Amino acid sequence: MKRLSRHQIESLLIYGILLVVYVIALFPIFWTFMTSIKNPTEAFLIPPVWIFNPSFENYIDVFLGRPFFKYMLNSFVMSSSATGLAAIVGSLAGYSFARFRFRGKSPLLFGLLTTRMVPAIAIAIPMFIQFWTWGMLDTYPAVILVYTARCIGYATWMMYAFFQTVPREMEESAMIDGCSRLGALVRIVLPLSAPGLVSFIIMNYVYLWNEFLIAVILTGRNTKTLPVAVTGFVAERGIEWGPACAAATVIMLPMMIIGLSLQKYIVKGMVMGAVKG
Amino acid sequence: MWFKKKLTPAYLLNVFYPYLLITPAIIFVLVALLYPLLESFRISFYSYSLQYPIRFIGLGNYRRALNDPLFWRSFVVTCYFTVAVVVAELLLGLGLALLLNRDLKGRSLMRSLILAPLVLTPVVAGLMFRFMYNPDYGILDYFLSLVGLRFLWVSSSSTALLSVILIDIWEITPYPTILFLAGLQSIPLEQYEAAEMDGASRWQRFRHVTIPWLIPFVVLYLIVRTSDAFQIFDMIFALTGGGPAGVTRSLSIYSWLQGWTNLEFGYASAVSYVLVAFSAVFAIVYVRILRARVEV
Repeated sequence: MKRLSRHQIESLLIYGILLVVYVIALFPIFWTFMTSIKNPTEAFLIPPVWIFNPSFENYIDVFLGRPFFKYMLNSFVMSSSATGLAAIVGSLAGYSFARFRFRGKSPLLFGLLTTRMVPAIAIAIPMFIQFWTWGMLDTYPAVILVYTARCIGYATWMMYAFFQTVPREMEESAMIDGCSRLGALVRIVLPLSAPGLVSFIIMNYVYLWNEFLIAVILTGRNTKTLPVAVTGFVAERGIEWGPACAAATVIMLPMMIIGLSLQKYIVKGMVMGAVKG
Repeated sequence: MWFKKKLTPAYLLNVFYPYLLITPAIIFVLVALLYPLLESFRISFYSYSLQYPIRFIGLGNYRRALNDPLFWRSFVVTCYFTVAVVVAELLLGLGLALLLNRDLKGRSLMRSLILAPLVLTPVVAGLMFRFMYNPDYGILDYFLSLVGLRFLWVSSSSTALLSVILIDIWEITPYPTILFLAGLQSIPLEQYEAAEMDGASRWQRFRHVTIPWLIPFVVLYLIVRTSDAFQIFDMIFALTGGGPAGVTRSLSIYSWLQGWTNLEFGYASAVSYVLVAFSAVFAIVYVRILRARVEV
């Protein structure tokens, strides 16, 4: 047998470690999915059944036995609205910070940035009491308002960073041709920073889709989101793990698809959000 | 005349235009973040139970917290958790980033896959592991039994917090990994070449080129991550709701329990303000560091 070079041994070791890491990272997800396609009794078997007939009984239970489609709709509506709103408002603010100099610019900019560090539980209590007083618990606007506010800091900061990469001459030449500032923003600057906008939208969407604390406090039967719904399996007569895993898979799936296909944007979003430049 | 220009509408619009653009953002923050924060502070000075009439009690809630063993336990649990996960995730993330920072085949796919635990809903992660940690039908105990081991995971108060920490590590490590990987890939090759020409060994190159370059990334990451970890709620809520005998009850969960199980909103607000104070300190440090580095 040929003696392996030091370099080759090293490579082998690295691939070996990475293999272990990836198995650990992906196994729980894999296992949850496996459990969801077993029929309810097989899910509890130890030693576990590795080869079996897949059954979609759990999914039927989840979708027909509960208003799961409604929960998906709720999650979708609220995540999309808040993300969209934050994108618009954040773009306006980010543009202002990127292009103008004005009094109080620095404190305002950094103040907005720190809003993402506010503990959710601290604002949840008063928001709950307020909305309860106004009878607005379990409504879309209530949740969308709070979600948007939570996202605005990040949105502004991201758009600010991306707008700075667009040379001023771009809008300036457009404005010389008679375009308004906002028009230039929309027609020139925004398209040029599209990757940044997309990164923000994806990161933010994942964050809101997965959000739990505010949702569990402000939503009710009508506006329940998926994360809240999934904890609903943990009640009554013990936990129905088959349907619970099916629900978990349904929630995970969009995020996994996004993660796999749009990795480039997520990474960009993470890096920009953590360190500037 | 104390103003040099005529205060025409056009001039005023020019001056206020930047402020106009940021007004919507400010409004959202004022209404849905600043107002509740202040209101929460105000409520913390009242006995705001939904069962009894609301009374002003000054520092009563805070004094109660200081004498409350459950509060202190939550505080300690949260500190333990935070330190453990931040350090572990930092080291593992860095290690993983170093491993991935090579010309490996399928790099893009590897980066996509490693994101999986990170994009997972924390509540779902809590539930998933609740299933896997189960002593009777959980898969993890099955694997351990194959090698003759046994672990009580979240069934025992001595191992529950560790089990929670492990889940967080599993979930969040991809974050510093990706961050540091990007940082590593931004190191200009000339730095390494120069060091090599000066006769630096591999380890020396690591110590004197890689580490200094990464430090800015690491510092900012640590601040944000520590602040986030201190507020942990979702995953623990789904996993144990506070754990056997409160050993996994973080401050956020304790505040939530006081508010929604005991209906003591005043006290819950006071407890949550400990979290606010903590985050505020971190936010200030964060801004200080960022401001020193970023020209605005």
